Amino acid sequence: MVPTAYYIILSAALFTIGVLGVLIRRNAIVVFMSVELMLNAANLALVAFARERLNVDGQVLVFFVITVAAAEVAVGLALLVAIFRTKNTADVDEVSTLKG
Amino acid sequence: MAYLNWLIWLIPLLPLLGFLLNVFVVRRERPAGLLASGMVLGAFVVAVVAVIGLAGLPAESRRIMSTGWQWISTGAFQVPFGIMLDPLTAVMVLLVTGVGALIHIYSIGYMHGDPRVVRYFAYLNLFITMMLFLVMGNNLLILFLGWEGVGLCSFLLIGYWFERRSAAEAAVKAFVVNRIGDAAFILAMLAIFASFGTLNFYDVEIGGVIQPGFLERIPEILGRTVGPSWQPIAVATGISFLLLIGATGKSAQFPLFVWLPDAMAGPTPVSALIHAATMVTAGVYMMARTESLFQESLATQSWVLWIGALTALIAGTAAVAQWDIKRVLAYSTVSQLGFMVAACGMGAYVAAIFHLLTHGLFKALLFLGSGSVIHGTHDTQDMRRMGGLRTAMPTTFWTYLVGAAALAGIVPLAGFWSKDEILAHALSHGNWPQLIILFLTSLLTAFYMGRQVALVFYGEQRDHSYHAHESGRVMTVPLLILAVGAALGGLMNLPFSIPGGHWLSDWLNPVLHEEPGEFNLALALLATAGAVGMGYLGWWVYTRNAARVKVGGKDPAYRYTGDIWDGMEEAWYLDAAYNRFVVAPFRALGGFLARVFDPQGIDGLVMGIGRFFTWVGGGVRGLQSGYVRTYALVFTVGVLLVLGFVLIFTR
Amino acid sequence: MEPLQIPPVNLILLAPLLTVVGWASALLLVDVFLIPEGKKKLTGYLAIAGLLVAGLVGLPLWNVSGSTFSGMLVLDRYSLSLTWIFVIVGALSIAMALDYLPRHGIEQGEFYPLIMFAVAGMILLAQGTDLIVLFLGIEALSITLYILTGFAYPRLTSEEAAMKYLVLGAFAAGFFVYGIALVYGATGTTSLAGIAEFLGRQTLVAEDQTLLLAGAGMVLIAFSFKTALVPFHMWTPDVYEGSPTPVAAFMSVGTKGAALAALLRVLAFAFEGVQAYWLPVLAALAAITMVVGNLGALGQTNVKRMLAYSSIGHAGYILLGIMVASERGAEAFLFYLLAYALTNLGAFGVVIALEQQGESVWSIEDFAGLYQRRPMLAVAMALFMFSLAGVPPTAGFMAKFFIFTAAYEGGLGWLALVGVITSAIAAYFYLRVVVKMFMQEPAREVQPELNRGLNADIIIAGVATLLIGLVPTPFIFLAQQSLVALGG
Repeated sequence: MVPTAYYIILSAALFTIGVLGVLIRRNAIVVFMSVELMLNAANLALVAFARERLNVDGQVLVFFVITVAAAEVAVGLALLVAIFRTKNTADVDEVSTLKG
Repeated sequence: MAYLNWLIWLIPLLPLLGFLLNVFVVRRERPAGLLASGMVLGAFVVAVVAVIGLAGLPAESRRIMSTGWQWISTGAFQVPFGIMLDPLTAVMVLLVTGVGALIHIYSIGYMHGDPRVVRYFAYLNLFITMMLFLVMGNNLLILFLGWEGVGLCSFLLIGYWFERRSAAEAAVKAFVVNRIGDAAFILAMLAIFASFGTLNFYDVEIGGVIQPGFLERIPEILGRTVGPSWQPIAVATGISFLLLIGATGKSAQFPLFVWLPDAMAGPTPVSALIHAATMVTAGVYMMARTESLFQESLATQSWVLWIGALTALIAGTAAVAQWDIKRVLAYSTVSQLGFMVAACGMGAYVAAIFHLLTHGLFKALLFLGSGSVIHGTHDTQDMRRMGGLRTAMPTTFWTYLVGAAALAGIVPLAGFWSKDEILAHALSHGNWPQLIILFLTSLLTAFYMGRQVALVFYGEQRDHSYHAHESGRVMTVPLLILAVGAALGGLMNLPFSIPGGHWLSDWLNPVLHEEPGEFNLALALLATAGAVGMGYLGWWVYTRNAARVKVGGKDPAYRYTGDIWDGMEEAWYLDAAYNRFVVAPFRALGGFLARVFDPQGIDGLVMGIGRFFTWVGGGVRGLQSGYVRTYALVFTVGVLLVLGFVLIFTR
Repeated sequence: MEPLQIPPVNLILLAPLLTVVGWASALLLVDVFLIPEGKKKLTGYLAIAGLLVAGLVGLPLWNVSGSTFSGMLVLDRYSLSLTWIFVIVGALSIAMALDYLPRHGIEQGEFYPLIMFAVAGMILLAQGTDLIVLFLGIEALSITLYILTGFAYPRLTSEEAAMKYLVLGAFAAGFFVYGIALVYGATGTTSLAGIAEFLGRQTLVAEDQTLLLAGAGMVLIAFSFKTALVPFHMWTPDVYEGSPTPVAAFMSVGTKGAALAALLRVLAFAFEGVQAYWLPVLAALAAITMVVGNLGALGQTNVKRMLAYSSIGHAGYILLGIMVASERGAEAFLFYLLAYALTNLGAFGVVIALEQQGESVWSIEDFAGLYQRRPMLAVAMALFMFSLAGVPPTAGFMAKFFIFTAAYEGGLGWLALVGVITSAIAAYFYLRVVVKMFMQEPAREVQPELNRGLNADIIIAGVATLLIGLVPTPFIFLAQQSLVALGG
């Protein structure tokens, strides 16, 4: 059996990649994907802990997270389309009129 | 005396009613002025009736407490919305409503034709209401309500002529400086509540339950300290020092007095009422009220004493070198407030209140007189453009002379008795340095009043661009009444053992347990001789040299003093120092923060970091700035800090 | 394998929540099929009615308490009074929006049910006693708010605000879930009571301790984001400025309140055992939040941004009440929330009244000379500004006083000091609005537009601001009662 620690290290690595993706990438779609990566890293950790403890709570939470992530992306993509229509860009750096 | 319980509520509520009507109903000048004056006059009449009722009680039970409702009630934390009337409050209320009513009436004439005059009277009535809450509150929270309220009204009234840039700036300055004092006051309240569990001044019975008052529980905190073990601070010292800071803001003491001279940008009746007779004395009143707390801290008391004495001297010297008729009086007010604060520092609270009352009378008189001069000379304030006005404005001249003599401390006018009592206390307590400072200041006082009277009323009119005329009856009658007050005010507390001689001391005795000051004939003679001499000198110098006073020119005394005169004129550059060392860095800090925490600035910051990484990592182009991503970056930095702290530093 | 056990479910305990959700869902359909275009105000009125009904449904539950869904949701007085606050906030925000939406040409019926869904998310946060439920509550609230923020389509600033909010919100959600995962890994449970019990029962091995602390820290950060604590606040000014003003008003009080309410439960119950770790963190966050929020507001000439920074500063004050894990602190928190919510809604109401069609300036200059044109409106705005600045006798003063005394008594004297000093600075920019209204001539012709909804909002807020300031005792009593039988 693979020790739980390995899963956690993997999930931490995925999570970090996700964070860096949000910080570095400019394409809004990729930013969303990076956020997804963060959420799925968390899911991995949850499942791993749930298996270690033989307790289903963690697995249940994963379903919620997946649902929420789907809803979030749905709204996000709708927004993206709206912005794309007016500004013709999917670059998060281009939408920066609000400041100060 | 059950009727007193509801009667005293009328005192603050009448002006409040006037305020509400003037804000929401009245739209025309004449009814607004009459309504406002009538309400304050009504409050004065009620106050007189109430005080007569109070005097009918035996001395030890002269404290009427009346609770409107329980303001705050949460377990141990009980604060009633209550007001009281005791001898100390009584004299303050009479001063506020009496002088206030006269100034309201005077304003009808002075402000005639002003386009926003309804608003003016509304503000003025609100001020009276708040000032009354300040002096009548039976707990610190009500006092604080009044404290903030009068500050707000003062702010609105200083900036009343907001078209003038100086007025708007002066208002903001007054506000900013006062915030320092107010913050200290709030901290003092928190500390008092934490130490005593109450904010009431005295025990008050509400619904059969006695709520404690902190002034009667001072012994509980004696010996208790706060602060680090290497530098413990007695609780009494900490609290009283915070209160002192509050008082220095409101009562314009060193180093926070800079706002008061600028506050003269407001209408002159406002200067008379708020910035001379009443609001600025709130700090003195507050210290007198919490006297038993101050008396427990020698450390604070010596601060009080020194601050008062130094303020008196600094402002006294500044007053000598001013050209603006109102700025002379403003610095003079600061200086006289210094006398009162110094008296508090000596423990001579009765003397402080005595001087507060007489000063309220003669300084209101002087300000109204200067207002009459300004009015009669078509908004001239520069004394270099005046001169020889005594023939054109006889009533103003004679009343002004009475006020000036009273301020200078000429026997037997009001100022002589009250100032002499403070000096006598300094002598009998052996506070030699302060005695000398205060004595010098009183000489300066006589000098600058002599100078002012000479410059304004004697000699020839130096500027003929206006035609001077005497003001109308509605303005001169208040002057006459106040002149009588300024002349006879000393009768309140004569230093002689005749029946009724120590009336004020006896009256205040239940609140301020203090013996009347010992009359020292030698000191009194010396002070009188000095006052007369210096007053005459000031008059003599400036009538003889009247020809040398030129519009826009230097003072005749400048030849002999040179740069020192400049220093005096600028009140020893305290303002400039603030601008240099406080205001500028604060602005810079605000601008810096706005830049750092807002996208524009952080952009540059991140760009910098980005270049740094580019330079370090040789081609790492990852951290190019983007706005949302910038936010995310700051977020991530926050995450790293929080997690870093939790995981590493708490190991 | 044991047969699957369905835990007993007591839906009565969720009556207000279910009312809001059910009503909103039905309203969504009614709006589409029954309410004709151009009469969408009716939807708004129905939404207000639904929120009020939900509040009324809560009334008989005052003496009921209990938990359901295996202890994931709880009904106690704390959650009930929060529910009432949220319902009022929602109803007032809708009242403000009734005329705002058509005036700006963005009237869509679904606006109103969306606000209701957001309120449902807030109630969920108040009632949740399990990290899973709290996560759902936050997301239900956030996702609706993303939509509401971008509601002024095709105004680009609105879309931009929504985009920023969404990206950062999702980012924060990632931390939240990961934090939950780590806490779950350390303790084997996500229930607040379970975590507390676990922490009380046994000492953790070093590894689990690390997991727990990191997890708790991440959960804390997620809440800090929602509450807009510095440095997790960067989205706030942009989002407030970009979103339709009634939405900004709703967010400024609702989101903050709900997140803080949940945070209180989390800290007081789940992580009480590790207080030594989170207290300094929160103290530092509170201090810099108060400083940055108030200093940031100083230079603003855009009233909406000024109110945004002000709301950041106020979050710092409210946090004081939560950190003092005492009854006094919790009382002060509830009281502050109520006072702040009503005051701020009133202030936003005045901003909306001055907002001209199709404009996005919200310049402070528009307030110049307001007293001459609309004395009542100016007096009301002055009242709100004084309350936000903490001048007696307004609600804001009482609230600050309670919070600061609670902090002082709770051993956080230095934070109270920071609070007093920053609020002394804060008075400056609030007063600037008053100065504009009373001490300046109108700079340009701005005709305030008032209507029934706005009037109701401003009058209710104004009366409440004065009333809470003058007679705070009943409200304090309610706050005290709300903490009876607080469940974890």
